[in-house]
Amino acid sequence: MDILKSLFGTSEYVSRADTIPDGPETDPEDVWAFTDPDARDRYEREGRLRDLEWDIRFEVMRGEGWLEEELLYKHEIQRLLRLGAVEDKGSYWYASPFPTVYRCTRDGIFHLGSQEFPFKSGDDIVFQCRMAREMNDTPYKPMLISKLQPTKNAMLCGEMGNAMKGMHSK
Amino acid sequence: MQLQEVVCSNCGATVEWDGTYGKTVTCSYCGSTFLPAATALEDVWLMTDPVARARYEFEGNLGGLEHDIRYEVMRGQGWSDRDRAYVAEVQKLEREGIVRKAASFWAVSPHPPIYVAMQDGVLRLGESLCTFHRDEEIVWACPMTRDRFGLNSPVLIGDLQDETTQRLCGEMVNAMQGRMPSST
Repeated sequence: MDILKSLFGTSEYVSRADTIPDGPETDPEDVWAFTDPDARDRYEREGRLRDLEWDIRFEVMRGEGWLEEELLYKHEIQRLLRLGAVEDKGSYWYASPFPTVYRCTRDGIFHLGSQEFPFKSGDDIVFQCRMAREMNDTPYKPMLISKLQPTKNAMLCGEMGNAMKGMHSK
Repeated sequence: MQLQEVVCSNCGATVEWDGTYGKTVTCSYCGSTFLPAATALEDVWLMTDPVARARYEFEGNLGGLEHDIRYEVMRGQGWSDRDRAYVAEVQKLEREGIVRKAASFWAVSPHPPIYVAMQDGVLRLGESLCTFHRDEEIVWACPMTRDRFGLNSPVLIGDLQDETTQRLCGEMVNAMQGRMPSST
C-alpha cells in the first residue's frame, strides 16, 4: 500500500500523519483517527496491534465515539495544514492513541469552536486524550500547544497513573 | 442474531442492540453513540464502569470479576434501594451539567466510575443529603469502603488519589476479620 502511495499518490497521500489536509470528515467511530501511521505500524510489527486497538477503543475513547471537541481538533488541524500554518513534525506523542505531532510554521490561532488558542512559530501541537486532559486540568481542551522534547518511553493510555483512583487512608 | 433492546444513555429512547459487548450503538433517535451498559441486561454490572469491565474481558477474567461483584460486593443479594438511588441521582446530576464523568474509575471492584463536581451541589439519597464542592470527586462506595471510611451513605466524596493496582473487592484487607489474641 505504501509503495502504491509513493508511486501514484499526491503529496497528501504519501503523508504519514494521522490527518491529511483534504481528507474526509472524521468518522466518530474510527478507532485509528488519532493514531500516527508509524505508531500503528510499530505495534503491528511487534504483534501488539490488538493491545493498542483495545486500549484506544476503551481507555482512550471510553467505549464511546470521539467527542465533539476531539472532532473539532481534527477539523482545525486539517484547516491549518491546508493553510500551511502547521506541518507534520515527523514524530508522535508518547502515549496512545499516539497522535502525530504538528510543528507550527508561523504564528497563528488555533480555533476550537468558539475558543481561540494562540500559537507561535516553532511551537508543537498535539492531541491529548481525555485522561491526559484531566491530568493537565484541561478536560475540554483536547490539545497541547508547547515545545515538546524527545522521549523513549511509549505508554498505553490505560497505563497512565490516573486511570484508576483510590483513597489510601481515612 | 436476535436483537435486544437497550435504553439510549442520552435521550432515553429504546433502541435495538445485537448484544455484542464492546461495540457501540448509535441511537436512531438522537444520533448519539454509547456503549450499552450491561446494566440494561444484567443487574450485576449496575455499578461497573464499562472500561473496567472491558479490561477484565480483555484479560480473560470477566468471570472472576462477575463472581466478585455478585458475592463479595453484593453479598449474594441485590443492590439496595440506596445504591439504585445513587445511580439515578448521579446520572441526573450529570445530565444537568453539575458533575461530569471522569476518565477513571475506582480501583476496587465493582470499579464504579468517578465523577467530578463542576460546581458546589448536593447529592440526594432519600432523606440523606451529601454535600459536595467544585472539583471534588464522587464515587459509589461499597459496604466495605463504607466501613473503612465510616460512611453513612453509599457515596464517597473527596480528593481521590491515583491508584495503580486494580483489585477485586474480596482482596481488600478488611474482606475478612478476626480477633487478635489478648495480650493480657
